Amino acid sequence: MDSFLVFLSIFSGIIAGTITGILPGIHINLVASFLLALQFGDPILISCFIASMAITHTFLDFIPSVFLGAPEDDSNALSVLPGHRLLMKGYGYGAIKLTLFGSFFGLVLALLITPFYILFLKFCFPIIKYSVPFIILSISLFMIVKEKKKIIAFLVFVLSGIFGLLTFQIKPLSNPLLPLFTSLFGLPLLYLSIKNKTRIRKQKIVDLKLSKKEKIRPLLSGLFSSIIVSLYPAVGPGQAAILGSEIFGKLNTKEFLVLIGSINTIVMLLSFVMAYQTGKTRTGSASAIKEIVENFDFNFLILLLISCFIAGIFSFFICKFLSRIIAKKIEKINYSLLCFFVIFFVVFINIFVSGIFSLLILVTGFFIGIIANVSGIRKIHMMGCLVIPTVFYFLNF
Amino acid sequence: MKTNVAIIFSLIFLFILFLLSKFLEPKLISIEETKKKSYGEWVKIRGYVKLKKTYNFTLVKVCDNTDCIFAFSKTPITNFNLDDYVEIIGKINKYKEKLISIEEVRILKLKNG
Repeated sequence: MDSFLVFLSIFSGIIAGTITGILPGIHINLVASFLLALQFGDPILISCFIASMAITHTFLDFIPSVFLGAPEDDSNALSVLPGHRLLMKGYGYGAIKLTLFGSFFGLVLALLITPFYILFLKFCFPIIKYSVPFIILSISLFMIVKEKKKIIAFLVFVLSGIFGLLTFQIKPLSNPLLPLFTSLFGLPLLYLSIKNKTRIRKQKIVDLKLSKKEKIRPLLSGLFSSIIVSLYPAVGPGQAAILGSEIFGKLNTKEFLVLIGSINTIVMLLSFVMAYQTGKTRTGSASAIKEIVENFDFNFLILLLISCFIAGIFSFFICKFLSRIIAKKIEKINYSLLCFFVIFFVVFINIFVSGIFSLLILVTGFFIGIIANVSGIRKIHMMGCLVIPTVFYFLNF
Repeated sequence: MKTNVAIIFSLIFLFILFLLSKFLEPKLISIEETKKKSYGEWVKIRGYVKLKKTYNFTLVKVCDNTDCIFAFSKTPITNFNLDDYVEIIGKINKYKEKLISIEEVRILKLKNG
């Protein structure tokens, strides 16, 4: 394999990941499924492209979630609130830098633990897979019990669950996860920003300082949480983050952003390792790679990990550069108008990708999202949209 | 918007989704086209049953004039036989190669019908 072509694939992936990361509603899975549908190119080069795109995306996708409150999936949906809170105080750039810190050091940590993770999967995965429905349901119930408004939290969890079950049953709908997450986590916040006539104050281009403890604790918690996410389908990074913070002690806003950043990237990297060791895929990117590569051996895994590391280094600087520019400009922008534009854009993307029936999904999820937002409960309960369908699947309902 | 209003609208739209989930069907495509579909996507195909194995599950091979594909059901299906012309609705899945997880089978023409 010509190493020049490999590097070209990696850098093309970085460019694609930058675009999918900063544009709300454009997910890497979308690009990966386009590549699969086109069925062209060398599988190894396409895999390097997908891996580097996926890692770059995990670095960049905090930009729309912090600056616009428009998450693309469960991986960054939970960063919206703490990130947005800092944006309102003028620290949007600092918030992005915290997620970047988490993403980069999360990537390094994930690479370091990879040999141990492979061994762990080899011996423990056969046992773990039988515990999936019980563990994910227990985690969700634990989150509800921890809530002050338990009845509303339970209601949101159940409604989201029914919503998820029905969405997966709408047969003409493609890529159901896109409207599912856009409607629950994205649209309600955008709507409330318009309704409340949110104005973004002048952003300070400063780093939010972290003590040594504030750096190490979220990274360790992120590593633990990511392993949970990688093992259990439907456990989102947000749930695992809260679980991790229960074990490692309550995290402050800054630490939480480091944690979310690290989980996002570690989960993506571990999904490639998981695909190699068990053949199971927990992310769309790992699934796409597994589909196009016939011989997923150890050497190929090493090539993917190298692609991820190179992408991580470049993404760090690209994200820092772009978030600095956006932070400088955002106060001059009419934020309500921008939110309107983003709503139209994501609705258009949803119709384009998932079909016209995605409109009904968007409306339904929007109202469930409003319940969670207005009542002030944790948005995590809306992960019932994945938890309940997964439990049904594992219990053969 | 108040919480109660959002709850009422959620319930109304969930009910509409429920109705649509019962009545909507995926677009009819050729078996060749199913190979380009992603995992988890719904498909509807028509073809002749060329192989059928029924134990406590059912595995069938269905062919049209473009290609063949295996379809799988976790429960045994006994109401059709080899060379019947059937319509299958299901989700794209994978077991070694792409196959369809059967949701529903309709018999369009019996071999001896």
